Amino acid sequence: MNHRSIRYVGAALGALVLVLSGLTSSASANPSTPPTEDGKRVILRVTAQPPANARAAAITCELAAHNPHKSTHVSGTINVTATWTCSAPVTRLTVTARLWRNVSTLVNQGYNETTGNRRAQANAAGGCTTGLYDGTTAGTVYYPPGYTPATMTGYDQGPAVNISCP
Amino acid sequence: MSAAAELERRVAQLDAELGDTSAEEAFSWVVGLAVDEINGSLTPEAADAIVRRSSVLATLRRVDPTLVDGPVRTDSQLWIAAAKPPHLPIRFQEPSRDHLVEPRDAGALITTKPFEVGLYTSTATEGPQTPSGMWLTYLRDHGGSSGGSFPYPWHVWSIVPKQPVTVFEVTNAVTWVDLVRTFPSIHGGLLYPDWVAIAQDWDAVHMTAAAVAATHGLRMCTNAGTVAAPFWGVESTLWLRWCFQQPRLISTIT
Repeated sequence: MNHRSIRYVGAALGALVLVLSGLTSSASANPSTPPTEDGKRVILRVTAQPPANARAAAITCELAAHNPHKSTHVSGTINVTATWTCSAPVTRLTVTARLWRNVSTLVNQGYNETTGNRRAQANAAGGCTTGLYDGTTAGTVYYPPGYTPATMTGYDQGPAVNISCP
Repeated sequence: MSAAAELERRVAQLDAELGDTSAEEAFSWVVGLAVDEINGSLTPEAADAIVRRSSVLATLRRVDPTLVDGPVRTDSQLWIAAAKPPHLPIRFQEPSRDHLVEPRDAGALITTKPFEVGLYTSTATEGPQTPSGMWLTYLRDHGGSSGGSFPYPWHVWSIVPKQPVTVFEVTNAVTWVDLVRTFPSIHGGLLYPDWVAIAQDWDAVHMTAAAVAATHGLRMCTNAGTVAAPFWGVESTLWLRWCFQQPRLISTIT
């Protein structure tokens, strides 16, 4: 299976999980996802409800692959970052960031997970070679006990960016 | 959205992150993800007025006022050497005179933050012997086990100047513009700092957190032209020449 097909299987799985869970996804594998009113791209957003009769609030989490960019700290380097951001701490967050060049070349990937936190970040970096870059991310949120659903897995693809290197 | 509105949004984001997270973590999270240049420009005075209302900066001031307003605490500077990612040449892991490249010995430096020149430190916030500070916080988000450009191990060095040093304090957008206008270099219609000229007059440039908050990714308009957008990310000091006592390794983080 080549990289490109892996990518779209990943996207399909992400979308499938979201559909089965009855939650809506505002993201897709389509890099032309329309911008929101504030000019920022729509990202994947999932919400879990607290246990019945609990005073706790619903927890919403957002998974995003951000813009690939030249590193501002390390010369000759392209970076991409992927993040989970939740409205409250959750049991566990896992996130993978993948950096792609010219659609099908996987440049690098990074993985991270946090426990008892409301954020997680993963990064992927590679040497600067002129090309069209984008980032993808896959991640899972494990909500606190009693929340429904208990876990959600999502996928997001960030915008494609042309980057020129010396 | 105007540059001023974008900056207001960033300050609101910063303040929203406070609560269950430290000011250093909030700063690293929000500014660290601000990787794109903001469209348009604004005056430095306008940028400073927006940032002045930031709760994150007020909280950082309580941690250590020098992080936000300077002057740099020269007895608490940490230099952190990360391992190299596979695509880069080997990095030196120990600060030394031999490894420091002064601006006059570098190639063209058309940049608001030069790479591979001088030595960047960040202020320790938990005592001079404790690995801490805004750069370490940034590394935890952007390196180590999370992937990216800063693999473990991280060697944390304490470096202290051995004599009085001259440090240009960039404490807000106005002083950033002052630096660039005093030592200008024009490329592509934009004003950049002339790092060779700066190094003739100053040992170091300290960019405070307030200055980073007000300038990161933002072009500043002035009577002399538009100043290119800097991306310093965290409170840090760029030392332009070697002027230190023997560095001391205080920790290795793996």
